[in-house]
Amino acid sequence: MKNLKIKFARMEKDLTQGELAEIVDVTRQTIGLIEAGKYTPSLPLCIKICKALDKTLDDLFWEG
Amino acid sequence: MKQIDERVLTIKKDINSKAFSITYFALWALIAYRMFILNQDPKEYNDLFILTIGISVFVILNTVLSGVYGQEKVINKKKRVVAEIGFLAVFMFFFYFITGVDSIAKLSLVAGMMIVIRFAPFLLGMLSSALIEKKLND
Repeated sequence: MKNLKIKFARMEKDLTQGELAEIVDVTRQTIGLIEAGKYTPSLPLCIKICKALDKTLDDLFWEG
Repeated sequence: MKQIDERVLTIKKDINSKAFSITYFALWALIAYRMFILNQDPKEYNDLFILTIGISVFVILNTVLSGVYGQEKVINKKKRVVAEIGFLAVFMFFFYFITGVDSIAKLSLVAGMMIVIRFAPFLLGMLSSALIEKKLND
């Protein structure tokens, strides 16, 4: 399932996928796959993404 | 120093794991080929045999010592015992018909070896669990 929350949070911060990838030490493709719902990031990576986007785990990854 | 992308690492590990599996089973296939089809003297493929056994021991030892041996599945002991008895019966049936060995002593020896081989994973699983429990309690 697509993760649009990450996409919107990234756009709020005016970051491209490549820029976010650079901040969290992954490739642009990985960010793309996470947003497309085709890759499940590890917890440490989830936390890095949350810190980079100033959001909590619930904000970005909770499927509620 | 820049970290390697975890997804790339996972994919590379997966590829290496598959390559290892293919090589490992190919080694066993080579030994079987030399033994049963080429009928070679064991001395001619000792090196392959030692390598294969060495790798097997390495994998099992590391799996046991890391505490994960036998942890992949929840074992229903009753079902497992029934399955093992069934496996032994089928194995002995085919062994008797393929090899033509009819000596009770030899058949008993083969059956005994199979029981040990099939029971060994239980013991290794118990050892592995004990090692990880020790690690948790330290």
